[in-house]
Amino acid sequence: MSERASPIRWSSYRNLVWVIPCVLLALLLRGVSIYQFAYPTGPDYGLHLLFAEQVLQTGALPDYAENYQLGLATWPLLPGGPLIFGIAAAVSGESVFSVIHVVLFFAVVEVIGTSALAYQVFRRTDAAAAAGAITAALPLLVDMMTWAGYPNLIAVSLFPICFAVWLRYWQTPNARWLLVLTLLLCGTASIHHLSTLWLVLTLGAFSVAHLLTAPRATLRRLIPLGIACAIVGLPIALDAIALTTQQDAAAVLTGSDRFDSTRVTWEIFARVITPMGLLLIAGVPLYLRSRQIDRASRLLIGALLLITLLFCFGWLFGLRFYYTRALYFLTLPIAFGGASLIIAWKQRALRWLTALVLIPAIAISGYVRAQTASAYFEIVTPDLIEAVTWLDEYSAPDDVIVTGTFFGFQLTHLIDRPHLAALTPDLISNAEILPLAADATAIMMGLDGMDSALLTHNVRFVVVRTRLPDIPDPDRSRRVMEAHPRLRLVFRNADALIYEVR
Amino acid sequence: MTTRLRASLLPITIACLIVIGTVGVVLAEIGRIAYTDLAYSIAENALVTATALVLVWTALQRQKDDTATTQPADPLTLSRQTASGPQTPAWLWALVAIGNLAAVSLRLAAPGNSFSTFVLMPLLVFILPGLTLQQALFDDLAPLWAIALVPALSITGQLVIVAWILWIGIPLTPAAIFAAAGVLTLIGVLLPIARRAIDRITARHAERRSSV
Repeated sequence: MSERASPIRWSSYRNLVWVIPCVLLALLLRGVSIYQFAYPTGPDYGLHLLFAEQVLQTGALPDYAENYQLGLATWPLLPGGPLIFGIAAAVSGESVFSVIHVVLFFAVVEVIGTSALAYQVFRRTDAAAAAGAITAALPLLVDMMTWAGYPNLIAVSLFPICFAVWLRYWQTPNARWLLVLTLLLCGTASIHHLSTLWLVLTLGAFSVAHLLTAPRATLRRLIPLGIACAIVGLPIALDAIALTTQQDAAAVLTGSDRFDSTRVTWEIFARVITPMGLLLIAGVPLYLRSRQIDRASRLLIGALLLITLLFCFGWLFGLRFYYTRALYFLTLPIAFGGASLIIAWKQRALRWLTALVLIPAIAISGYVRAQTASAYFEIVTPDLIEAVTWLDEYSAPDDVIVTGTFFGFQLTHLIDRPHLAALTPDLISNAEILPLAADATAIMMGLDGMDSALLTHNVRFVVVRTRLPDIPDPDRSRRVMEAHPRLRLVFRNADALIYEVR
Repeated sequence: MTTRLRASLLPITIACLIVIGTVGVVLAEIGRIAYTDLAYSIAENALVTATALVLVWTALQRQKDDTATTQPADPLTLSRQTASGPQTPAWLWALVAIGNLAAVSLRLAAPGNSFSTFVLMPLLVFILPGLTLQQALFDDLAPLWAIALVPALSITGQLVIVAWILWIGIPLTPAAIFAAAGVLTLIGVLLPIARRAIDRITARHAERRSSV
């Protein structure tokens, strides 16, 4: 028996050279929204950074978002996603804003995780390489980077390795895999509420399907896992339960009409997944019918696809939560469908031809999307920072500021002032701020309630974007402010107009 | 010859349609042709036709095992499981010690410096905890799996510990966050030592029993 530590066999790592271009492609495409701009693009990360800052300042999970919607908004989120930025900031000693680039690391996690899962499922290097390359090139998460849905992106990036270990545990249910799977599932479940829902439903559907065919073997795997997850993930489960009851998730899923405007229609679906439609519609049936792939692997990806399509087209059968966000969960089925399609050809030349045509085409689509969407979502700019600095200098600590949606997500972590953001209902997760957002919208759009909202909330400044896009339309907001007798333009630069309420 | 040609006719047709369709879509996306051009319509229809033909092909295809390339019986593991279980290699001890020492020293002396942000923080947060745990639990993982598990275990492990810290009510200070990463790393480092100690004690007991 050898007492020496087992050495790493570096020679076996040489076979993984193909992973490097896949990872670089993912970094190149997803990094556009970070390295081509002065500050990362997108509105959403503003609130995540605010949450992480609040945790680091107080050492505890905050109940309310400081200053955001006058400080009356609860945090409708699971803490894991923003906490990753908090952990990175605390260890490096930088501000949370300065470590935002760590999100790019999850491109690496996703590509390698997908390749590992594909290697386990297909047991072929070419399929693993194809799935990794397609994941790297797909415009879906590139798009998510541009609007900064970071917690969602982080959680989705961890799905492949969770699924890989899940299948591994299903195949070999021992203590080592149980421990690893428990950590992965509990940690991933703490990151993003919607992704947690997807993860639970997918694994739930998989388990139910197995329970029907092999109840004893399934329970032998599920019971230890359930106990381990209940113990290790107790605080995370309690957070999730609290969030579900606090936000009345059942009502949101079944009765809310907030998401009517973002319903996934066939037209949106076709536009978003072009040119990946071929991989999804033609590739996934190939994957699901393949006899070279074991039943559990087919069932797992099938379950993920089923849950995603149910949420995409839930409006067809009365599910009210038919948010376009569901489309982002299609990455794994598309990657596996693509890999199946590529390896389906018996002739090596056709395999190469398909791969060399499809993957670059998707990558080009991803690059075009990265460029256009990043430019669209460029919100924090040096000019906005200049405007914020001006506001900081010329406003009192309790002066209320009103903005549109895009500035609204970002302003709260840039300046310590009470703030009202005009958001449309589909952008709001926590119902208690719907009236405040409606008041801010009335101010920005010059609606009937504008004057009373200005008085009620004691608004001192209104900040309007100088250019499209924003919600509400910034051109209309500018015309409203210029026509209003109580408002006076006090600051302007290329990005922001600041009006003072007299 | 004719039979082979006939058998490959459908795949070749599908491949041609995919090439035509994909090239057309790419040309439209980079602005070389308009989405209203006939060329784009042809490309889109080629993709739709290819999709339909793949579905037909899938339905008709006889599933044969001969498409699978030769692979090891279990591609997920290497055949090098040591009898005494995984042990922490010396280089990992050195990396853990140097990494933690440097990170804590620089965090205290010069918080926010570039070396901490771009080298030590990723090492401490994204790599070391998962690496030590993975090394402690498995010594027989295929390289791709070994790489994939490291960051995922690091991140999820820390999130679980941080969730407990917050739930218990311990303030989440930078020291507590360092401790969370450190505890996870330490578990990974100590697990093989504890296992070896248990093995030695068990072996000694067995020896004594056999000598009696």
